[in-house]
Amino acid sequence: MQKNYLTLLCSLSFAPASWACPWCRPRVQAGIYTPTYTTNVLLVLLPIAVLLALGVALFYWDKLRPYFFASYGKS
Amino acid sequence: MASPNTLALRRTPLVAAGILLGAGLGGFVDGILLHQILQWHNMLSGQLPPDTLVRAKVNMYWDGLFHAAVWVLTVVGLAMLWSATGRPDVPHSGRTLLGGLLLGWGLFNVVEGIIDHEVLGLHHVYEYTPNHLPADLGFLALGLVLLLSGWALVRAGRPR
Repeated sequence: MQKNYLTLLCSLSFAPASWACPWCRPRVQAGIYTPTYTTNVLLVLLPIAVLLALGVALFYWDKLRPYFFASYGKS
Repeated sequence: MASPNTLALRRTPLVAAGILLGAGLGGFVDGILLHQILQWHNMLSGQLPPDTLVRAKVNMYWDGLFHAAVWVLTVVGLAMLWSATGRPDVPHSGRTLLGGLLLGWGLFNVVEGIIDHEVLGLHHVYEYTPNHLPADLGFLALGLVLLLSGWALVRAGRPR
C-alpha cells in the first residue's frame, strides 16, 4: 500500500503539469530581477521594518528610556 | 533577590510582544485573505497589474517576500512573549496581551495603509475600481478601530 502511494506521488511529481509553467519561468525571473530589484525589496519591507523597530524599542523601553531622557534635568 | 510582590510590575514587554504578534498575524490576514483568497490586490499590483500569467507570477514573488517578512515579525513576537512570561516583574495578564495583539493588528493596517497605499502607491486595497480611496480608507478605519479597542483592553488590564 505504502509502495503504491510512493509510486503515485513520484508519478505526479514528475508529470509535466506539475512543472509550474516552464516556458514562462525565464520571463518571470526577468520580471523579478530588474534594475529596480533592490529598491522593490526595500519598499516591500519598509512597513515591516517600521513595525519591527517599534516593537523592539517598546520591548527594551526600560533600558532605552535613560538614553532618551539623559539630557533632561541636567543644567 | 526581590520577590514578585516587591517588584514594580512592567507591562511594556508583554504589550510589545503582543504588538509584534498582532502585526505579524494581521499581515497574514492581509496576505492570505486580500492577496490570495479574495485576490483584491498583490504587493506590487499598483505598479505591475497582474493581467498576464508572467506579471501575476512576478507579483506572487513579492507577495512571498512580504509573507516571509511578516513570518519573521511573528517569530520575533513569539520570542518576546516567551521572554516576557519568564520575568517575575511582568504580569500574567490576558487582557494586556489581547490588547497588544489588537494594537499590533491596528498598527499594521495604519502603517502599511499609509506607507504602501497612500505614500508609495505600491498597491491599493481593491485594485479593480477606478476609485481606490473608499477601500483604502476602510482599511485605515479598521486599523483605527483595532487600535482604539487594543488601547482600551490594555488599559483594562492594568494591575489594581
